[in-house]
Amino acid sequence: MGFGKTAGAVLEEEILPFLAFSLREPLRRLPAEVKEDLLEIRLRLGRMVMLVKADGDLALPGSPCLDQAAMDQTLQFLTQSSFYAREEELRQGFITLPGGHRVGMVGRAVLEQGRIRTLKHISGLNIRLARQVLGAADSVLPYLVENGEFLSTLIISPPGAGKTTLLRDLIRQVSTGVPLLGLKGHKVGVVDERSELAASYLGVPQNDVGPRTDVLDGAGKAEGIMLLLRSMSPEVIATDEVGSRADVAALEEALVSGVRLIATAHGHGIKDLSRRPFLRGLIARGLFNRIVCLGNSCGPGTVEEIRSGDGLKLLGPSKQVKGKEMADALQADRSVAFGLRYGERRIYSCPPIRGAS
Amino acid sequence: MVSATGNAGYIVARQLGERVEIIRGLENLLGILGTQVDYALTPFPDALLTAGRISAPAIRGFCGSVLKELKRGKPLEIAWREGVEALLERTPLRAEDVEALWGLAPVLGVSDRKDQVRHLQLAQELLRQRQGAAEAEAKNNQKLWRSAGVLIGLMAVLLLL
Repeated sequence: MGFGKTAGAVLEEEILPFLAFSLREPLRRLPAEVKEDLLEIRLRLGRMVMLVKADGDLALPGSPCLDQAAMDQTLQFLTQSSFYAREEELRQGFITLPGGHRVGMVGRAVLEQGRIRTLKHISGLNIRLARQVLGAADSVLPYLVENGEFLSTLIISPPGAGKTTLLRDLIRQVSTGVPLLGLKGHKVGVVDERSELAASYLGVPQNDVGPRTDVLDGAGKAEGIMLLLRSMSPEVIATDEVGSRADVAALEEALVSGVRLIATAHGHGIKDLSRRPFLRGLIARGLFNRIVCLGNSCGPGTVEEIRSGDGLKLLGPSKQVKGKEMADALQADRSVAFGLRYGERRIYSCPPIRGAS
Repeated sequence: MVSATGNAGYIVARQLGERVEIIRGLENLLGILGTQVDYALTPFPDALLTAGRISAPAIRGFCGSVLKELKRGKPLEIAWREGVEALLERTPLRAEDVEALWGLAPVLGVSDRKDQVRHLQLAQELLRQRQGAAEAEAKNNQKLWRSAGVLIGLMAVLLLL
């Protein structure tokens, strides 16, 4: 998504050229406030086009049910008339557009040796508008830095609560460095299995992931982490949605190699991890220095809780912010950390919103 | 007068030869596109650009006009059809020579690799048949047209005298 573009410009320049002609005008006519809040455009064959916003969804006004011709034309534009060239992505169920917007697809799966080879008879598309929230990590980062060193961090959050947004901005800031916190820029390796973090298009990150960030796009997490360790000498490795035994083994390998980690996991708070034996083991052994829990209690992106690796609650509903680390952060710059209290700050509240989509 | 009718005869004879060459060029184009799709999974516009660069002027023009329309935001099916129409207008090709190309318009770029290769190979085979027919026609008629042009001119001169 282009920097500094209005939501209308993003829609006009980065989304509409990929949609069937019959859908363009109804989308152009949307009120500015709807365009501003737009998260997803959902196209389902034979049904109304639905627009998903943070507060619900609505049918696209002035647009009939999606017919086969409109779906075919949209697919032609989305794949640049080269469906065959996107087979590897279709196997994953989505393709990425310039600007980092992701298009999820469903249809008839074509199997080969029991695995999905490609999709055909595409019947549904979900166009997720990329939004990078620059500054999303501002309120959290002081908790994750100690004596100018970034601490290995696990972010736990239910779906839609902002863990990827937070992770993406952490990657950018750790890569760039934050002089205010005494944090120098680090070499960051990103394993971007679903192209959500860097939103790479033809190998080029479309999101700002910082000047010292190397992105391994489309690779599995376990294999990708090992590749980065061998080849790019990262100081920090970041990856999204870990959980399997292989993921955790690779994380452990990275940690014992002296690399700091930023990872995310699905979950409703730290208690949820008790049902994830592999992750629980990592935390029990203190391999993560910080655990950040996000939630929706005050809207998407609420920082519900931050704990140190040994369980000390640094931020949470029942306790004031305490701890040596917080004191260090406050000392580094009171204006950054001061004021972060439970429920008061949300990561999405940090302007500016890149692309303002 | 003899010169004018002779030239006209030569032009018709030359066009018969050109027609064969263009059909052969189209056949090669589909072969290159098939290779680009099958082995390199090259996106269609890039494959068309590559193939056009190494093709004869008429074929290069065809690729260029399709690419131009694609850049204007037209779907490939429409851009391809318009390219074929322009090719028909600019060259001695006949409608039946490009039937294989019309058939490709709705299927290009919309299916998986294997399917694309099959469509391209089928169209290539149809073009090969057209090329055979065009070659036979050229062989039979080229000499005839060259001679006929001059003879018609001479006959007209004799009649006028």
